[in-house]
Amino acid sequence: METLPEQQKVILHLRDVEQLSFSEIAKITNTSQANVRVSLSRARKKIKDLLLIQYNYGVQ
Amino acid sequence: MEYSKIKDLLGVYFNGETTLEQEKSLRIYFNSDMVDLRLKPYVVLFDAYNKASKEKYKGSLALDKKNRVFHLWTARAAALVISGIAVAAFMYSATIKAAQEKEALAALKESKELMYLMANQLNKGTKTLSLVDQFQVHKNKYLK
Repeated sequence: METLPEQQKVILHLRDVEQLSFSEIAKITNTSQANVRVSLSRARKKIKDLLLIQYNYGVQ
Repeated sequence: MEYSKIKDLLGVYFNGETTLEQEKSLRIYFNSDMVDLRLKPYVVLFDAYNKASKEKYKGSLALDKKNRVFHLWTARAAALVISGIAVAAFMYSATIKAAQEKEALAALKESKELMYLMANQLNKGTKTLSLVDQFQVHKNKYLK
């Protein structure tokens, strides 16, 4: 999680913890909704990879 | 919900294409006791979000729901909180995994010892059988 770029961390938090809509996140982060979706997707995929590594091989 | 449906929904989720409603159903599923074994790795993730979500209402990071006022610095601080929680969740899952491996190794050791004992018993049995055989040979020799 620490390895995520700041922007991705913020967007991930706003979506998955605060449960805000894409338009709200775009407004807060001063970016487009398309950018929000791309950043969110990248962040989630990185987390998924980390989770699977963690689950399969233990602490790295 | 069925495994295949959740798996498909997870695919959409990781592509960043789920609606808030779909994400809510994922959270409900992964925070229940009905999670399919094949989807267990994702429990940690949704558990971390759930904890972080509860945490935000306790402290100063609470979102003003009426006005939806949310400053970027607050989001950054909150992102740090979620990072911490996720790291803790990762460590927790690693600890569980280590404990499971330890248990498996202990079970393996126990099975090895059991096999060794069984082999010993079998060897004793074979030795006894060979003695019986020898006895039978000698008995037949003298009692013809």
